[in-house]
Amino acid sequence: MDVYREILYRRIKIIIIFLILCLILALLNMITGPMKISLNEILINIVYTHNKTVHVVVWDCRLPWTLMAVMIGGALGLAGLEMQTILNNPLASPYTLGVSAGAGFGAAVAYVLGLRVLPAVPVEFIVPANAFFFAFLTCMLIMFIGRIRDFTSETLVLGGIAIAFLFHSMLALLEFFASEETLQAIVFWLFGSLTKATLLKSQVVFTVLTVVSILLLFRSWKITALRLGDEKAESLGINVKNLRIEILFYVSLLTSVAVCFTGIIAFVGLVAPHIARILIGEDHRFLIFGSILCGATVLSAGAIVSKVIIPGAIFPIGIITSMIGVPFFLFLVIRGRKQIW
Amino acid sequence: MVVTIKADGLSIYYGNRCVLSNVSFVAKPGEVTVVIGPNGAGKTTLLKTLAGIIPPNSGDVFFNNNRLSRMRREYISKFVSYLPQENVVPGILTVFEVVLLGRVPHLTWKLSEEDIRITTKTMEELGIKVHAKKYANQLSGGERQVVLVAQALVREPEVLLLDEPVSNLDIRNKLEILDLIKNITEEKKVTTLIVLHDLNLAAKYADELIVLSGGKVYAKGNPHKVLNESIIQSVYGIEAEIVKYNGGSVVIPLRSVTHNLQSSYRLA
Repeated sequence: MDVYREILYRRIKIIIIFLILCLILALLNMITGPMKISLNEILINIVYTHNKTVHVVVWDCRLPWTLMAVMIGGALGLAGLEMQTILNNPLASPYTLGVSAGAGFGAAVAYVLGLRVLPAVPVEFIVPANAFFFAFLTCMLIMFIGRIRDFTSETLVLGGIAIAFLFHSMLALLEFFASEETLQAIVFWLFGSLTKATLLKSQVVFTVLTVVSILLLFRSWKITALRLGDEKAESLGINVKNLRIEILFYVSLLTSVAVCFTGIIAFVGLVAPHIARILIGEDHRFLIFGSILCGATVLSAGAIVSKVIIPGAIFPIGIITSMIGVPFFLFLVIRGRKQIW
Repeated sequence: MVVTIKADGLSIYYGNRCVLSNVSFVAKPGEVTVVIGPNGAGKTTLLKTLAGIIPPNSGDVFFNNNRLSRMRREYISKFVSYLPQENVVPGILTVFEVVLLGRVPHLTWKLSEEDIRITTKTMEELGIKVHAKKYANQLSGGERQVVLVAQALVREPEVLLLDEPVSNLDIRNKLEILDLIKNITEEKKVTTLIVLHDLNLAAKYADELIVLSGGKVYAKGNPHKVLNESIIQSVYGIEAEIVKYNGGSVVIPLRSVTHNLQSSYRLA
């Protein structure tokens, strides 16, 4: 009994630390930017229009960007965690399995060909809608390939990598034919950026993230048991194949929504789950929250750095996250006495 | 509930290869049935079939009078515990969690007091409570095996299927674990099937012995009657001497009579 309490408190403690860290970084994210505004003034202007300019800056830029960093970071963290877990592969992430490549290709289709794959989408949403469509298509292709070999993790991982190469080359093909301005737009999209964030978009991500998290939390013990290996999980009464299909579907939705609004942010989905796993352990009841918060923290930190690194300009966040995340991640990997996978 | 297992004409094919052929036997509650046989005889396949992981191509298993083929896997897992041969625990799981996961069909988001109590009690009984907070992948191979046995027992199963549960343990741990399993089998009227490689341990702990060879039941029955020189020679291809000692049998292996390795070594 006491043993369990001790383990429990240790986990809750780490979750709370992450939560506080995430909140602090979100607030810092709110106050950093080309225009110097105090935290006090920002908070006042969230509630009512105290100063017109500040109000516009807060509601049109700071708040959506901050929320988007938290939501996208969380979504990528969770998507990466579940991919790694159900595929039993530490390298699985939205980026390595080609979902990001699919999204990139979709965006390029919009930029280069002006094609609207989902009908009746408003103009400003053509790029994200295309990105979403192709990202989701990528996931479905991976599932389709997996189905042939009974959804073994090897087939899914190798299928994902193959699909990633396919979309990368198709993307390169589009880039090859693109005009110079279009090419620039594609490349900028691929860098990953939060600058196109709006409140509506962050609400969409928030909704999907919440629904998927709840669905996963209900299955947290089964997902944790998957880490014992397929055979063991089967013998514990879990239908591994069905569980894998189900979770892959949720994760497809989550990943597609996350990458379609912001472009390719490679590092978070791979590393946030590892950091959370090292600190928390495999118990998915906590690891789900841990990965979300860790992803949100890493991306918020990246967002702050992207604003301060070149004064007055905003550096693409996709570049930043890897640069600040890699040293920290390597530190955890090298220092840790535990085997991390 | 006590469960009598009756395997009736089980056959399993992996592609064209016949792994189990017309295997029939009865395993009774409160008895330890030990399955022995050389590598590749189909022992693991037999246990997986009984655990509902591999469906038989023909024949069926009856738990009391219920057909295994008509049961859902979730239902089977409620009363059958299967411990696979591999001894790895991937991932960052504490010993407590590994044992607890044995109860996964029962677990809810907030753990019930019952689940925590049974998990703690099982760890105490197997002497691994001191390791509870350690990560399972930091334990020695032997300690980890005890943890996995605890995982199999924590579900309080009516049927216990153990695939070489003591192969990584030192002699003291071997005896302790098998004694424990034997006691639980008798006290709680569990129907236990264990795959063992060590013929002497098989002779010591089996109430009933099944000798598998080439996917067929070569012999079955009381271990002291089944374990004789001629069966050992034809199943394992070795000469052995059986010594009766203290009412039990001791198998002393003498030499291989097939010399597979030596002949190829000479050719090389």
